[in-house]
Amino acid sequence: MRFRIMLLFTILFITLTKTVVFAHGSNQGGSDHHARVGELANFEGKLETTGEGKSPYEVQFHALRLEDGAEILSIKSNSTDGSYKFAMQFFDGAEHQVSIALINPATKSVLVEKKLSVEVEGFHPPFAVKFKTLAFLLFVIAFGMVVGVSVSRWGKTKRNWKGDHPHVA
Amino acid sequence: MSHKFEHAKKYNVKNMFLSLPVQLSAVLFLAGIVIYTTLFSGYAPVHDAVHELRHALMFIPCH
Repeated sequence: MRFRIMLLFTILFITLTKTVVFAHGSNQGGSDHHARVGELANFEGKLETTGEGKSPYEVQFHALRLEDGAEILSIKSNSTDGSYKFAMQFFDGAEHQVSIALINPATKSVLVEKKLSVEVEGFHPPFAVKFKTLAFLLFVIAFGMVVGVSVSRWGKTKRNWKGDHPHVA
Repeated sequence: MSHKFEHAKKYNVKNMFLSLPVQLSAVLFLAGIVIYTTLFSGYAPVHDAVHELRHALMFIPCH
């Protein structure tokens, strides 16, 4: 009885704690751009050139997670006048740095570079997402158990069919 | 005159919990609790402990 009450309290405690824990440095504020996890964030603008090199320029887009310095995305595009338009989804509710660089295609030198700090807002996973994921994982485990039991029973049947009785000494 | 009820021993609650389907269901239930706690719980100590695992799994796209 005591065990059941403890189990009930444990489950209630875990499920009712709605505290959202953000990754390190995600709530420092003062960033250039704001985004939400799992939603498309648009980066649009124009990098002014001083007339060096010949168009079309290469536009290099980098997204870096500041928490551990991991490169999240790196894509390249072309632009004739230095304008750019990128869209990406952030996976982690932490602070990121996005850098957009205009590159001279002939010399591969960086003509202009713009760095933006992006504060990505993390939020608690929606109930539907949690339910679906949990159901999928439990299905995998249940499937494994069914296969395990079936294999075990099949082996037993096969041994009995052969006349082998390992339980008989 | 004595009466023995053998069936009462066979179908009691203890034996019912020793049956394979009930045991598998119990394992599945416990697995559900562990998975929920590890991957979805907002409880700070648990979250911090498995933060890297969540990222490595690429399974839950928000936190």
